[in-house]
Amino acid sequence: MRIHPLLSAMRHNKAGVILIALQVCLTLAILCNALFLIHQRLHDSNRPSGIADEADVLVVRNTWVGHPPDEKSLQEADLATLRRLPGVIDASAAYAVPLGGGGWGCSVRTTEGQRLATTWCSAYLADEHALKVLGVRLLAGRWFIASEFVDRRENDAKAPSSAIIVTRALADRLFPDGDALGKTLYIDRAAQTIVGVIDRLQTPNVSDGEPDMEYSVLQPDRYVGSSCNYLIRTQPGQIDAVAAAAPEALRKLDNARVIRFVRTFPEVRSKAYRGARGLAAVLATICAILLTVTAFGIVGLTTSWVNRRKREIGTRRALGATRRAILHQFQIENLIITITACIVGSGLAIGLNLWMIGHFEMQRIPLMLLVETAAAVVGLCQLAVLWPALRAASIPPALAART
Amino acid sequence: MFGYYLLLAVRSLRRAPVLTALMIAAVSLGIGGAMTALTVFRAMSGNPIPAKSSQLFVPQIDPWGHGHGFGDEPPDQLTYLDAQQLLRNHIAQRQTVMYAVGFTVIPQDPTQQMFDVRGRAVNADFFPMFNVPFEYGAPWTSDDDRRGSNVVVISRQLNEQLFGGADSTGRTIDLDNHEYQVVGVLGHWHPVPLFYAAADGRAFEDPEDVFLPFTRAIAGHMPWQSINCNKSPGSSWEAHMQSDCVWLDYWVELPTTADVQRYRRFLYDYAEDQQRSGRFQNAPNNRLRNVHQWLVAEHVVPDSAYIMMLVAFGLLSVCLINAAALILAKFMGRTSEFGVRRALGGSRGAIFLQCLVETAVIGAAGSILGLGLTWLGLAGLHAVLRPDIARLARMDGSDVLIAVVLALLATIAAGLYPISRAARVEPALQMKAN
Repeated sequence: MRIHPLLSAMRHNKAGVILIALQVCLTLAILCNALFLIHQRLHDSNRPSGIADEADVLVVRNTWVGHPPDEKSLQEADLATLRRLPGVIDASAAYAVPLGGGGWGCSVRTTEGQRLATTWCSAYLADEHALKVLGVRLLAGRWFIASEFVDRRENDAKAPSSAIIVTRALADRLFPDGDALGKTLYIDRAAQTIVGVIDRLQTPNVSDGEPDMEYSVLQPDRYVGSSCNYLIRTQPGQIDAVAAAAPEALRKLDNARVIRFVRTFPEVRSKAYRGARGLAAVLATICAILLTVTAFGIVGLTTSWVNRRKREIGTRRALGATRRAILHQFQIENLIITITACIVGSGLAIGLNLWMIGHFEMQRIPLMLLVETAAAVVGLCQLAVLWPALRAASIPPALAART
Repeated sequence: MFGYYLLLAVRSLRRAPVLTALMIAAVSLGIGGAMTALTVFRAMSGNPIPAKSSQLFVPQIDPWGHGHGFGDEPPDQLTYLDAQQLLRNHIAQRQTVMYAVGFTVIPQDPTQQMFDVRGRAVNADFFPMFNVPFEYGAPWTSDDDRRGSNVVVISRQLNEQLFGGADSTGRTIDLDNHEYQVVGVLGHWHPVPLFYAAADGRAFEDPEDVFLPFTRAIAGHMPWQSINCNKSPGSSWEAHMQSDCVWLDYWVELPTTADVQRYRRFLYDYAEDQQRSGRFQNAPNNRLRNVHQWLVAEHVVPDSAYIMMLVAFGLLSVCLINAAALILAKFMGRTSEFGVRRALGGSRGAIFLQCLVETAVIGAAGSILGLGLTWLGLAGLHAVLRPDIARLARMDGSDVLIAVVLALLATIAAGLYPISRAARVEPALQMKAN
């Protein structure tokens, strides 16, 4: 029975009620999807790369001028110099770096004659020092043995060695029964035997929401080329000192080079995810504006409703309605509107999500997020209505008699 | 009359400053958000070469057959063998093969540090085809193309860095220990997106600093930056040249539809020939895309730009609904005023016009504030986006115009229902109630 005056008030103001409900409904739909995207992007950008203690890894990109014929010995001298630097644990030459962009893509087949590739992978060339520098975790099998390491030059598309180590993600994709070890794969149609499985190693290119970004294979090859990345593992806390000393030491050794950059691995990571984190920041800003606009909209609208219903409220007060009853009237009215809007909005949110799945790299919104966001929106609207509702409750009963 | 309504509008808006502020804030925040996203989106999806975008085409030929990494699509680059054949046949009015290369510049002054530049190996046709402006000199000749001469065209920036901006034509520069003669210096040229580099994923970077004859790059065995192979080629340079690896971009200029038809036919016949000779295992699967189609196929505008647009325009619509509700509340609170005006002889049209002017004032204020917020939003984008994309976050004249028109139209659209409600107020009824 106490609901009654409230429902009639809403009926008198149908358009206003519909508009505010529509606004809340849209707010919820956009908010849910944006929050989910933010969550996904931030989650993506914080995934472990597979490199142990990333903060102690340094990448130096070196290019020799004019393709010197003795690249191999120059490179070996560089690495020896780097390893002698104080604070350096080990250094390795790499063609590609996880999250660093570029790299060597490869096709994976499980049988020799197979026409279409089973999946795609990224190949890492790992020399004798790579294990120590990367610190990847071996789950099964073994690391490469000395006799397996061979040189591999820029144009050698075909892997010269036959042993490979794959990530768990790739092993699970190809051999779901967990018996990858010892199996033969055809990487770019060359037969290779899986001798080890590592926990994880992300690929050089990380695109948004790709599931295959851990499909990496390691080949026991020493990369030799005019442009390469020196990966350096430093002692904890020594990275800044090494970053300063390394280019200087290299230039002193031989100046016919360009050192394109010296980056810590955390810098490599933030560069790789700049786009994803940027989008998250933009979406977060829009969400904040959305909530502010909706909250203040409710404040403004309810205030003007209160002003217009002053006389009605005064009359009800004069007839014995308590302040609390008036306060509750506005709160319940708001609750009915926002809960209805949120129910419709949830449907809209799911619809928008499904549409986005069809057009972008996106997954389904978890139902929990939807419920939580809806609860937060209802809560915010209740908070917004509080001030004008309190003002309504403070209207004195005499007011009705006066006018 | 308009001036009078304007006066009334301002007076009415000043009477309820909080409500007015809320309305203007809602409109301007919506406009600010939407325009920030739209400005970046427009730059990314813009036409990089309006004068010729429908006359420049990328031929694609499928040497691999279905399912080799590109699905039904042929690869987006060509093999050396195919590119050579297209060049030799000379069907198009102008044509250029190209690939990205890298150099180390060795300054003549030994105290200066060496530095890396990005380069592109092209044919002489590249420059007239893409309307590339020259500050000094001119493109190299087709004779240089044939002979693979040691000539380069350099960018304005590199000329500034090496020669202090002076006319450097005729002088030499040292790239990777080889001397090249400068034949031309580019003027300011920066197509966005950098359509011809889309396959390399460089659509939002600057044009290269050094251009040299394709034949010179091939003769010098200058390595590619990226290559896609269907099967492993041998290790030698020659093996790569004979392989089915794709790594070359190709552009042709076809001014008329008849030219396009002829080129399509030529590509089909060529692919069919290759199939007949046994080199291709598949039926002809070619594409001939103009600049716009090419940029779409290369997915140059990233998903994140679309998502940003979607969410930002979602924000705008929420803001407008919010403004509509507030405007409605405002007008409904003034029914007695409208009733009196109606009773005194004011027509529905007059009330309508008065409310319209008031709404337009809100829209105008919202557009000005919205422009400020757009500027702020773009400054914010500079801080969070990838540098190559953040550079696009800059408003031009048309962006400003769009913002103003969008704000006015959107606000008036939001106000239409409240305005019509206000105009429907019955005079007698209101007199009675009061």
